[in-house]
Amino acid sequence: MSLLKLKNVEKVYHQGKIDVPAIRGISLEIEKGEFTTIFGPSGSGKTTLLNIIGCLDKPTDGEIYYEAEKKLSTLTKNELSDFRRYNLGFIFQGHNLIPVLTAFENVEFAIRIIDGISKKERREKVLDILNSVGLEGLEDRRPNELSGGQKQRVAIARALVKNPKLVLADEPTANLDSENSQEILNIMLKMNKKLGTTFIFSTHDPQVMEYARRLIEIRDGKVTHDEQGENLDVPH
Amino acid sequence: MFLTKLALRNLTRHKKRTVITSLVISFGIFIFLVSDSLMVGLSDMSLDNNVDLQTAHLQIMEEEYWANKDEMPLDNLLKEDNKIIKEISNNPQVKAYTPRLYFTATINNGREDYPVKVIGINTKKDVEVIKLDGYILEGEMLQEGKFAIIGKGLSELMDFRVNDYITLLFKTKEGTYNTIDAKLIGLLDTPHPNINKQNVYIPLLLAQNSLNTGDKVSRFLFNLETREQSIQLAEQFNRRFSQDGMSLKAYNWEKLSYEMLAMLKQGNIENLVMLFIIIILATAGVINTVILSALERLEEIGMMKALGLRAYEIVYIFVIEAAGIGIIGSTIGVILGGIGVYLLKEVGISLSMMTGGETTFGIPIAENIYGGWNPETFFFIFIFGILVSVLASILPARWGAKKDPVKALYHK
Repeated sequence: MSLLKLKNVEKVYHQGKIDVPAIRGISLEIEKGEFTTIFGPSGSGKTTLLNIIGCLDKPTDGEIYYEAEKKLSTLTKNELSDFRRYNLGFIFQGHNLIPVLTAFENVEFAIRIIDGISKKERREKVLDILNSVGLEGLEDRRPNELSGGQKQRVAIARALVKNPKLVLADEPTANLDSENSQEILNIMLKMNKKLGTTFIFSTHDPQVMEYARRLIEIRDGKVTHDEQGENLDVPH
Repeated sequence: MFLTKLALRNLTRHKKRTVITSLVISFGIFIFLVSDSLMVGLSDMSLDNNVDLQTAHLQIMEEEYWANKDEMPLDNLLKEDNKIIKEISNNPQVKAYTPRLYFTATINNGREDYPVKVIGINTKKDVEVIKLDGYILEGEMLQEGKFAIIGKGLSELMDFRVNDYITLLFKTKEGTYNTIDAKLIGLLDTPHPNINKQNVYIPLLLAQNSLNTGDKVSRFLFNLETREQSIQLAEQFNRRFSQDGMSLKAYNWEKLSYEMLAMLKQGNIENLVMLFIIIILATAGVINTVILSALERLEEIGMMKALGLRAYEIVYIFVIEAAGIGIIGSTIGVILGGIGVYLLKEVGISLSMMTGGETTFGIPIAENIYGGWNPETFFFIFIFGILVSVLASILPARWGAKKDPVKALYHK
């Protein structure tokens, strides 16, 4: 059973009297546990597609199904918020950590807003995930006391701490040097294997694509290439 | 709880901004508290001065005299040796009473005239009701004979000194002109500017003889145990007068000070203006702070929405932050206000300095005004400061929280 199914998804932005199509009838199926990269040139629609999959944006047309039964395109704003709260993890290009919270608290934030997790359980989960991303001993540091790579690890930990089925990452290594990029990608791959979490990330960095187990190319809002496997033909 | 902790931590992001916004609220609260304290002090002192030095707690006069009392007519007078007054003065709440005869005159120093209010007083009884003897600046208290005492202000204006002779020109009961030449034996310096500048006190007998009123007086002034007793006692006396079919009427201290009470009510309007200024200051400060914070944190708002926070939870963060600013501002304001009120109460402030001259706008306070404590106001304004901050933050917080998550994340 697929985790996510997109059927003829379209997104049109209205700029004054002009309609600008960003996504033109994309149909996709993402299986559970996939490690998928969406790539394409700037303005091709990668981020828009990621936002639609992440329920941050609504498609103009088409349908999105989650685990075959939940029709995301019909949910209200509040229902979408709840859906994100319990099912999705996000990693942003600019990490978006809260500067007045420590690394521990930033990660904890994602599960503080979920009911039914005890304080003890929360603490265990946060420490465990911080250890997994290599931030043991840095729990009490605030974002300004962490390096760029460490901040992004905190962001990954925040996305993964609630053990979501799907993590969406929009150019997660764009602000990192190649060494840190590789470390971050290795962590994501490790988590993908360890937890079975499905990852979808957008990029135009060939180094990132090399880690992918599925490559989807988008151009002008359409899927132009979709390939799966261990040794994919990564465009350079 | 976590969102509350986050909101309070947010106060430390831009400490300078938090402090400035809080200080704006503090300033408004400080001004309000000081102004309120002044009004309380002004009100208490004015009423005390008026009651202690001018009206006493209760007065009895003819009802028709009351209607024209400001002109101090020589009609509708009462007998000095009044049976009913004597009878009711036996009431245990009455400490003392005294008759007075009021009339208008001009005082002359040989060069110029000045209109004055002359009061004929019983030299023995009057001091038991109106304690003018405690305010003799120079000379002595009034005695029987052709003597007079006046206020310091009037003596300076007309260049009179103790032992000088003053001449009063007035109309008798029949409407003919008459004069009194009296030796000035004392100068008064009371906290009531009108008494200092306008009043001339002469013995009642001298007044009665000069005005040809016989043994008549204008009113009887009563001193009671407390000011408050006069309300119930006046009603009791009036019932008695009414039963006996008499045209006498008793007036309590509130009725006697109605002009002043009306004037003091204007002070409450001043307080409302102050409240309005606080609302404007706090609202402007908080709206500015919340909008700036929301703009700076758009990406964070987007991230929170992506995490699944609903709009109301994001509004909550900003509102609690504003409440924090309100609490800081109100606390500082109340502390500063407390210091201000303490200083006002202990040191006071000169009314003439405040008004920039000699005029006191009819306020019966000659020297320093001392502030009054009003704990309820402190409590009210503390809550008010927080409430205004919270209310002012809701709209800009909603604006930030309602932002489309994609637009917030990518600053579109």
